[in-house]
Amino acid sequence: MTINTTFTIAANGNIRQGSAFVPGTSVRFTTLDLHKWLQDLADDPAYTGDDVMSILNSNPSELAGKRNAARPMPVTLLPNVNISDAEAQWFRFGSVEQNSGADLYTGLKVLGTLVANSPIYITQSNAKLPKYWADADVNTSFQILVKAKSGGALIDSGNITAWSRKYGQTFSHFDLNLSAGGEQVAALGTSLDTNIILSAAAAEAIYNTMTVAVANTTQDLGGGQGSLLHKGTITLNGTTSLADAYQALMWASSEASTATIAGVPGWRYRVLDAAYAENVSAPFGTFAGGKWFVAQGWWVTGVMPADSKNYQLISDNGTIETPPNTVQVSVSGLVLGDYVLVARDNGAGSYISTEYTVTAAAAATSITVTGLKTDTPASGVIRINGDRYTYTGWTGTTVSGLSPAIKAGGYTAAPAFIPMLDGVSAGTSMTSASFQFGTPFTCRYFVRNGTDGSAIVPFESTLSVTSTGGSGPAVRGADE
Amino acid sequence: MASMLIPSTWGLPSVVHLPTGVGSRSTQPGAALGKLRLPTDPIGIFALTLNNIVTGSSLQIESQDSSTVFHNSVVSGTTKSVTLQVYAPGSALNALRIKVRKGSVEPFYRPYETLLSAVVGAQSIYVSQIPD
Repeated sequence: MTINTTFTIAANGNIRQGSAFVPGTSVRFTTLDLHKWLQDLADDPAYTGDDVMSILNSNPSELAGKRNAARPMPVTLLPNVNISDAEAQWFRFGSVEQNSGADLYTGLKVLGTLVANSPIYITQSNAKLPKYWADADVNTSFQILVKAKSGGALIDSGNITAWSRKYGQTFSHFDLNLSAGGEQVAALGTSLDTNIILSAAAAEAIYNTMTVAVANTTQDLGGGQGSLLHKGTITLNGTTSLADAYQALMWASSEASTATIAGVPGWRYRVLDAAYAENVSAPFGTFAGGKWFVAQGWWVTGVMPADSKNYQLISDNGTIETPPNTVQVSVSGLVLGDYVLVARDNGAGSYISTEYTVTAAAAATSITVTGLKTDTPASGVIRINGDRYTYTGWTGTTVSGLSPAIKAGGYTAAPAFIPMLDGVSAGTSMTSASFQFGTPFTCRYFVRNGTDGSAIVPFESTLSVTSTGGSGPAVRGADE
Repeated sequence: MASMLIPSTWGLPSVVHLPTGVGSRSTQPGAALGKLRLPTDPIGIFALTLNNIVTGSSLQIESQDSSTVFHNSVVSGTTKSVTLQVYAPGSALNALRIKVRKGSVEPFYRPYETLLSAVVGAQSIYVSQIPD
């Protein structure tokens, strides 16, 4: 089909199509083709066929520059020659201005590496434009015209966004402004998302079990970053894996989504707060190596224990938050009856016995330990002025469940420390209660046994506590 | 077309249209004959020469109100001479628009258009076509 047979020109300057553009079937003409056709007619001595255009008419069109088929051509239709939105679908590679500049159709070209047949959609004034292009267009060259100006006013200031958000692929979008005319380029890139294994329906079903709410919340993930502001909460139902949650949220923000997120349709949800950096490929954060790197500002609750370490957050102020890393300290090579003490090394050949200063009332079973470290075992032993008390838990600076209760007379500004291990072995090894790893440190440990038949030369050594915990063997030197 | 005034006392119409011609009159005893021009009657010749036209360009000369086409041709050569009529002063037909276009065959040129007034005598204009 040639341009001459596709359109007619009426005496009033209306260029109109004979039949509508069919995406994927019809072939677009360049804006240069339009200009060439009009100029071809404009030097004819008289009208021919159904095109009322000849030298009798005013000049119907002009280019900004010389004809060049290798460049997008901005065409201005003169003075009353015009196309409608329907005819604009037939053109590409340039722009068409008409009605004395009151109307403008600007070229849009999509560049980048995309999965074959990646669907493109375009939003203007926060609404999707009806598609007059085919998914397969991206396989060759995606070039269309988009109306940027109407009745003398730019539409949404000339801004549009080109998107590709197909569930099963990574997402992409690109903002551009069409007010300058010519051809504007949107750089998009998509790839297959191997983390997507659920069907869209299954992902939607999981999404419907979740709550995605926007509201400020200050929370401490427990990884040592402290309490931090978050601006939204993703609530899982306790049985949804993070991998499934990721897929559900990818569905919710895909082109086909019917979900509303943070007050906007999911298909144009981009970021929780405009001040945050966007995660273009996955608005709720990427999933890699079995770990969900949650987008900034979101707090996640309802995470299954098995997934407790499989994610990280970014607070409102940009702090990366990691789930707590709980570790333990153990000593091996023991026998029943060995006494084991593991405490923080003082770097001078001994252990820290003055880790804290404690004041406690007599008979108290709960005391305040100013400066209590976050890498304190969840339960264990506290030594106050050398006296041994077991405890069952701690929160903040309060150590509770002391046994026995604080002795008569209590303590006033007494030195205290909390060893990792402090007790008699009941087997071949001893392991501390879990504690949250913060930074590496060194422990000095002692193993002693003076019981006849098991007596050993007192053993002393050090062990390092890292993000995986710490362990050390006892070397048993018989002392009999 | 010219007109002749005839005294009505002869029993003839007082005005009779005569063929176009240069005004002349004769005086006879008891009568005076003369020819007066209508506004649409030419009064002379305008010899227009267009220089520097791109060969193959379409040329049209029309009234500025687009009511009348005086000339239309495809120009061969770079100079084109056209003889036009000149009309009585004030006639809209003396206001000419000249269109030169070449959009069908390469090399293409942007439409060239200029305005001028027809006057008795000769005039040449330089056509400056810009490649499209």
